[in-house]
Amino acid sequence: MYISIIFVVDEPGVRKLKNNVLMGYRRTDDQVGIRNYLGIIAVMDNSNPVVRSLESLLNGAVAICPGYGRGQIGEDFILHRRTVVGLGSNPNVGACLVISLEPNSAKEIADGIAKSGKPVEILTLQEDGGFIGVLEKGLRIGQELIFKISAQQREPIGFNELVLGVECGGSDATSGISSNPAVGLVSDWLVDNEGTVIMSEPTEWIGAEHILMRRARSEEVAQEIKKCTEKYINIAKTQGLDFLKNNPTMDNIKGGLSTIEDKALGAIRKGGTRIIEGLLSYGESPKGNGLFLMDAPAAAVENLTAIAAGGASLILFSTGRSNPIGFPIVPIIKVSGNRNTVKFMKSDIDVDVSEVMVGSSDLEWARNQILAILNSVINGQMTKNEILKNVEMSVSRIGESI
Amino acid sequence: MAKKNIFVVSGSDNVATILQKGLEKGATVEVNVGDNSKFIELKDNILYGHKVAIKPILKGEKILKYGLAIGIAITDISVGEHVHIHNVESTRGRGDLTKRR
Repeated sequence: MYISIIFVVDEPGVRKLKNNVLMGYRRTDDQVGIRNYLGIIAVMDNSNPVVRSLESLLNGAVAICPGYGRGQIGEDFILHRRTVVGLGSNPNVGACLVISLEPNSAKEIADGIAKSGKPVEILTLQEDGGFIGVLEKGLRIGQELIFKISAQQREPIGFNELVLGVECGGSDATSGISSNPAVGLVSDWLVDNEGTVIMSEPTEWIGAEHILMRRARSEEVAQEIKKCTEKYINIAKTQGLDFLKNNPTMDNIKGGLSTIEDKALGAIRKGGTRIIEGLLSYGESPKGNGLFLMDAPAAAVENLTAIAAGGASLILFSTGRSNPIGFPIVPIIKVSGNRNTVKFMKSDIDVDVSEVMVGSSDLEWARNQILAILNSVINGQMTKNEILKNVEMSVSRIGESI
Repeated sequence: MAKKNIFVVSGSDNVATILQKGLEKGATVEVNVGDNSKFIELKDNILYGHKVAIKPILKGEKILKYGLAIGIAITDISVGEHVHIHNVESTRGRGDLTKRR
């Protein structure tokens, strides 16, 4: 049964529910994508320029330039490699062209991605003729790969096959009362329909972790949530810092948020109210359906990168004062309840839920507004940041380079 | 639903969020909690999205929003006063306090 209970009829200001079919791309590893890109991956930062040149010349290609990748050691190195493999394995990517300085690193990443069953090719600057050599070979290989994957048709998919990320950024007082709880109702709705949701940003659980712990599937999961939150508290302690002005940030404070607890109690509402199945490490894929938490820093670009590496095909991003950034391989839907932001940053906001703030509409209405766009974006509608290519990625660093 | 210029998230809260632009000291706002309604006079100019005390709060008492503590008052706060970083402090992740000791 792939027919979903959703909609998309625009009347003046109203989106009504109607039956609609979700259409996506089935991958050989049973993941389901909603885009079908050739991912051109720069394993190291020295390969970024040629990857970006190839992206600009190939229709259907997206540059995956995670930054760094050379001179990293230990846990930091493992995290970087694992995240790059995760990004290449994301279900929105139909095939990969992996580019590095030399063959060992390229092969390691390519082998990791190949486990997902998608076509993967390798080129290296040192063995394929430098920049111009890689550019020429990359155009030929890239063209063939896109010719092949673009033949794949969208098929009906179910909400139970969807992995959705939920994120908030540029938060203000409207976030915790309108956009976050509205996104939370979508999270609940998706979990009730056997889909999968990932919520992260553990710094923004501080002061609200007891609520998350109460919702944990088991005592073990509850303790993991506690430990993860304490990890970020301890970072503040060892640095002798107060979170104020870092998180909540200066723009959060200007927007009326006074403390990390104030921000957190609003922030966790985007994850809804359902049982938390487990805590994922940075960029880890959920095993099974339902709601999962992920340990990754709260800054938007790093957090989106971690959630995308974990296999999310779509991310709902709730915002107050607005953070317009998107992500290269995953559509990011921006939801705001701040009338000012919706008015003056219209080109960055996909869903306006500001009516909730003035009391002329309720949260269920806001949820339906989001579900309507969600449905439409799954089926191919581009988000504002996708159209503008306002996208960036950045893998977190947990150690020094040598 | 009625239009509102102030938002109380939970019945036990001692602060509410102002949802009207340009509210100045001396302005009167109506606060609705469940079926109860009261009028409070603002003692400060309060920006959109910022918090106002709707109950008297003593120094050291918890500031309650969402029915939960978002920090403690570092001064006595009277009804109608702006509640923000000048009179509220977080109790979590305070590495600065650890360092001071």
